[in-house]
Amino acid sequence: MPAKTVLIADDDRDLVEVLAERCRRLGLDVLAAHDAMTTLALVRQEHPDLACIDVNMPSGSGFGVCEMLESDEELSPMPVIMLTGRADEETIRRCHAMCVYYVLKSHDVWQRVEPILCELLNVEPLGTP
Amino acid sequence: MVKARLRVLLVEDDLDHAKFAKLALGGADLTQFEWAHVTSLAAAKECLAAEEYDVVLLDLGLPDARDFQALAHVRQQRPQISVVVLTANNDPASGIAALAQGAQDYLYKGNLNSRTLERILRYAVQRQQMRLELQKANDLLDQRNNELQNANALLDQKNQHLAELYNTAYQFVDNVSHEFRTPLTVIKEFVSLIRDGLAGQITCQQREFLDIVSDRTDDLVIMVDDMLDVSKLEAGLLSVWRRETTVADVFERAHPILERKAAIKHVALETAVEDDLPVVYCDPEKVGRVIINLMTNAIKFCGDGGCVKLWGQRHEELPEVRIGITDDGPGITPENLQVIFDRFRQVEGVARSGTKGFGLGLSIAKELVHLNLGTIHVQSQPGAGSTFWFTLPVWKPDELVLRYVERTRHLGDATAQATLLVAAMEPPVEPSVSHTMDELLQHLFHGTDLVLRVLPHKWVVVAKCHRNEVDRMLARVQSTLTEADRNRPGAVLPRIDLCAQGTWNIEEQADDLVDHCRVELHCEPKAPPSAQTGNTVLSPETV
Repeated sequence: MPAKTVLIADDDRDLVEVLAERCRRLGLDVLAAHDAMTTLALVRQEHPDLACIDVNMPSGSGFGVCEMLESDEELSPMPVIMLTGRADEETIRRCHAMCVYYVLKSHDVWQRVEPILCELLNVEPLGTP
Repeated sequence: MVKARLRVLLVEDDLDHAKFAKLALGGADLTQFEWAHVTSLAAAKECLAAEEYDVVLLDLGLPDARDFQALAHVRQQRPQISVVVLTANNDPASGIAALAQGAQDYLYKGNLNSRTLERILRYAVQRQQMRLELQKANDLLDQRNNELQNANALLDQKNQHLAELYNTAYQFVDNVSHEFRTPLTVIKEFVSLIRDGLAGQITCQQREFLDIVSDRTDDLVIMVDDMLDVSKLEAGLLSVWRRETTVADVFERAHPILERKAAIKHVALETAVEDDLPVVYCDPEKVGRVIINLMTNAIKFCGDGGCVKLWGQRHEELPEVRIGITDDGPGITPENLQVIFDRFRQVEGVARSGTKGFGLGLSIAKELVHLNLGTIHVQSQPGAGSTFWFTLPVWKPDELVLRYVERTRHLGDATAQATLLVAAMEPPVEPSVSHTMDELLQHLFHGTDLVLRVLPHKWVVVAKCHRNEVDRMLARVQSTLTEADRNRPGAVLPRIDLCAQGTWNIEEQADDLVDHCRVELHCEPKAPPSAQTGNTVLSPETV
């Protein structure tokens, strides 16, 4: 079975790198994007199995990307994790409204993202030593 | 203020009538009156220009003025003078009309006698004086009103300015917190990557040091969260997602951070949770933050070699669970105990007693506990350690309504009103759909409202909402639900009917509110729910 692919989109390159490293350790292939347009293009081209998207990105918001994906029948089943520093009601409400996972950039982000990833992509979590 | 001697100008072209009028006053004390008599408006004008008069006795039918022309002229020339018009006996209407045109009184020519004339003249003068005084008072009021309006406009302006400043400050805190979170996350994630040995082997000491970096980054994240919560609490914008939760789930959220903290500070961390704790109703994220705040304090004060115990117990009588943190630290003095949850007093206390760390954490913990319908307590003796504990309500909808009403009353807004709403979907509802809808509804309402999922397809909502605002609230909820559906073309949520059952004043009609809630909590939703308003009928199952 070919490796599952995860798209990580955040304008903070360091954050993308560290999450990508974690994903690769789980045996996943990783695509990286740093703005909304690239995110959208990569999703259309590569059809990743899951996308982890930041809300505030150059050239468009993560929500905008999600809305465009949802209106595309072929792409809408792809699960999305919204990774954001925003904890305001509006952001959370929109995540719920769009049925995407909301993860706050807070303590132990990976510990929150990993279980979602593993469950959705059906991969074994890597126990921390 | 009635002048003793009245100066009267009689304007009457009919000399017989004029004579009659003078005769009529014959019975009165003539020294009280000073008379002048003219026969035309033109002559009257001259007189009024040359002399001062108190009252004009005016015939309406003059040779050089018709109808009310003469009256209008006199009024214009001498706005302050009082005027009594003389009318023909067969014309009461024009007398009344003259009053509307500014005369003080009217008199039938045939009715002239000494008593009526004297009285009417005096009254007319007095009435005019009163009118003038009233006018003056009115002008003064107008002026004051203007001044007040100006002051008000100024206040409005200042208010708006303050609101803008407040909003800017709020936005600033919001943005800063957000901007802080990404770099903090990056630091934390790289540290934990190295710490987990994913970037090559590390030594025990290196791991220990990295744990310290991680822990201090946690502190910063906690501070950012606290700062954001304070500004949101003040703005009344802190949202909660209260739901059926286990205590174990709450503990799980806090545990990794606490474990790290305890290990670094060389404090033993014990957990003692009673078996079979009932399901509680709270926002596990927020309650996790309460535990982190309380534990962070406990670990800090215990110091090297101390022991902190996190425990959970069922209350013997009340439908609540107690979560507690007991430390064997230095304890707290009785004076400090009294102000420990009070934000501003604490800040003072910190400076004086040097009990560093009792900052925002405890006051936020208190607010978050209250938001979850619980209470927070502390018990301590200097030298014998401290115990902080708080309560979480057990998932029992009836009790939760009581608690909610109590809490809302306790907040002290005597005019607060609560509206009871029932939201229902056509059963059966998939668990995932029920969950999504619960999440959506919880976020559509606020921390000041209560949203209870009593069946997979039915919610009872008590919203702190005034009678006049119910329609607007329903519209807002409905539009968000519609929007949610538009964004979900793959899996449209089933229709949900939202129906307001009534509004009650929380202070005075709490019992009615609770009774109506009870009925709704225990009955099947009616089909269609929107057909039913106002009084509710018990369904057969509950009778």
